[in-house]
Amino acid sequence: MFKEVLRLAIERNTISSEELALALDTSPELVHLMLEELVRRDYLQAVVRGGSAACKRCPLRGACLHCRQSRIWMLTCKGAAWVAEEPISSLRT
Amino acid sequence: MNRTPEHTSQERTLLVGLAGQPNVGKSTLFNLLTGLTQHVGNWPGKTVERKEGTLAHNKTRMRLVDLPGTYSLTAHSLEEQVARDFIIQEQPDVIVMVADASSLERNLYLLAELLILCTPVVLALNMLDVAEAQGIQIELHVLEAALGLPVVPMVATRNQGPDELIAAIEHLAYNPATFHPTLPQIAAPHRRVLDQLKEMVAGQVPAPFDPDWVALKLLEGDTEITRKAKGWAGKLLWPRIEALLAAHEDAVLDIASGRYEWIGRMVRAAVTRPRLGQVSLTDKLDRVAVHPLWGLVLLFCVFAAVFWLTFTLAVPLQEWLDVTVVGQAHVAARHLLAGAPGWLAALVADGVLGGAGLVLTFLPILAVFFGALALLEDTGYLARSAYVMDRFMHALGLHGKSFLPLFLGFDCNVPAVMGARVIESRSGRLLTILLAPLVPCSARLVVLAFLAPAFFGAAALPVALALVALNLLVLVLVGITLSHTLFRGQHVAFIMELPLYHMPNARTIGTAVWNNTWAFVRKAGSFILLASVVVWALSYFPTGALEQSYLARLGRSLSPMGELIGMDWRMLVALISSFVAKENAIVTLGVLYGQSGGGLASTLAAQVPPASALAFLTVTMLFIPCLATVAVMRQETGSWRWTLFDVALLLAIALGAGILVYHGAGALGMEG
Repeated sequence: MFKEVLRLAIERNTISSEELALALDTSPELVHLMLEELVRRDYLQAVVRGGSAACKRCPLRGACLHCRQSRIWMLTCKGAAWVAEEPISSLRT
Repeated sequence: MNRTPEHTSQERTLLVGLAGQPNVGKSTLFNLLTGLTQHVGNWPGKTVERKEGTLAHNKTRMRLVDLPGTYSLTAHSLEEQVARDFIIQEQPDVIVMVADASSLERNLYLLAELLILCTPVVLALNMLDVAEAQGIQIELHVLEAALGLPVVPMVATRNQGPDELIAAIEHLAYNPATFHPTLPQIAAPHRRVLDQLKEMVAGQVPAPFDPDWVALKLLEGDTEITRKAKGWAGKLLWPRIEALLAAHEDAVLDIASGRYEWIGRMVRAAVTRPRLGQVSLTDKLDRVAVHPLWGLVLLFCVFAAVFWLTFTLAVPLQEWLDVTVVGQAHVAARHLLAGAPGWLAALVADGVLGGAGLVLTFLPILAVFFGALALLEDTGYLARSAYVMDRFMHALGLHGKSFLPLFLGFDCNVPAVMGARVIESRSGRLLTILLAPLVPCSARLVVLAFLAPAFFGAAALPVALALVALNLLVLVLVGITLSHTLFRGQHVAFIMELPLYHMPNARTIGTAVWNNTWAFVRKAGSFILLASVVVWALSYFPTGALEQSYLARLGRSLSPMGELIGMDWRMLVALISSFVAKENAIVTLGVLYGQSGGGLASTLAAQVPPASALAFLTVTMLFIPCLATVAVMRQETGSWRWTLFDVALLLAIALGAGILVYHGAGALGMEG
């Protein structure tokens, strides 16, 4: 199921969590739980917007629209290697 | 397992653990069941609070232990470790797993972990009222059959369900043989590995640990169990176990995957979520909003609507402020300073009021523009626009990871350049940094929103949209060219959350408008005011006559280029001044053209031919980034060579486009 999540993301380049839920015949809530699990295991990286040094100094930070938007996750090298069935231990070198 | 298998008429004390995630009503239920009998202490050797209480029912006495709220039993935290140790070491007769019925998926993961500990579990399905209010329907008998364990519906806050729960605890404690839960299965690829591990640890694991559970936890990479197992297995066996685990590091996801499949099956069987109202509305709207083609068309229409709204609502107000407020202030300043030295009167009237005063007339434009963006964000549309644009960029062969920083560029190019740090590869990062200044930042959009109506009146909307489209087209063309030549890179996949559409909140939008506008006022009050005074000084000295000023000399030295793009020296100087900050283009035009008398809009309309105006706006949109962006580009690339390459590239593109637009517009009869 996890591999299917990552495979679908790679296939479509960009996919919404709602589309993932539909494709996996499950609920968006469960997809979000799986995404959190994949983040914990470093297969996905949660994108923190508004976290850069420039954003922290920005006078518009309090009202920045981008900081308050929905969550985004990005595939990591480890995630891509797992889907491609490459040995994860090779990533450490 | 040390449990009493048969019913007994003797009074006995049952040990019952209350497990659950935080905020599921566990403490409420504990208080309800134990009343005044509870006492609080600490778990042995731990700083975690231990709450115990007793309950007498018929001939049964129950000792209830409120376990710390945890999301799982992986022993990552002290709370998780305490809860797990209690179940393993103290072997309770029954564990009551308290779950939030409105968020069943999240709660079932903990249940999946409890069940593999082989302890009898009763599921107390609390907060059913909340679930019902959200339209979630749970078929309790179906859930009970699917899970293979007792499920008790509860609303602990209303004292609903404790009697049924006590009865279920009693029944399960006295009849443990009836407990046949459906357990999550490890996904197929690693089942054989788990069997191998079970064989290896069998006979090595001391009581009260269950060898099968230990094998599973080893495969999961549980640090505490791994440490213990190393001691249990000894020097001969452990290297074999370790080698097997090292070869199957990814098994952890197959184990978790099995649990999520199990959760999915349970929820599909017993839970019905509403497909009415907000959800179905979101589905319907998203058929268009995230469609690969219609989504882009809608995005363009939304951009058009934002500009239309800005021009329709804000520009008349801005013109009124320009003529009435700033114009009157200008006259009043001249009158009040009639006896003062000429340079002082000119400084106040033309330098301060002609520049920063003019910028303050932007406020209606800013308020409407930021209000429209905040409205789109608050309704949930802005997330869709990001989604559609990301797919579009992938389709064009650009780096997927470039999208986020570039999207930030719509606000300001500085965070866009700095945001490129999320890209690991140097080539991808460089490409993003080089492209970032081509994203029309809010300052450039404000200049466009101000000058387009001034130059083109009723035709401002199509002109502004065409210029934004041109900007994005150039970005895409440059991106494709660079990504297929200098910067070949790999695609990166994204997963995005698309929130439900909802009614916007007036307070949220108001706050966004206020904060953005106030930040701009502060900028206008310091940085832009200073730039305005400098521009005025250069346009006044040494003789006091504009035509003989330093600025005029600088502008005239560039006149060969100006002739090619149809701009007089004042427009060239305005363009150069925008290098400091984009808004300075308007300030400079205000200082240089405003001296002709009347509002800036009418002066510009009268003095600048449409072809020149179009060329000016085109060059402004594609021009080199502001000073702050260039400085950050140097910092982030660590190279003056790349920074200057990009500045030169953008300058060439802007001037080339300006020449084409000017002569093209001239050929179409827009010269005068």
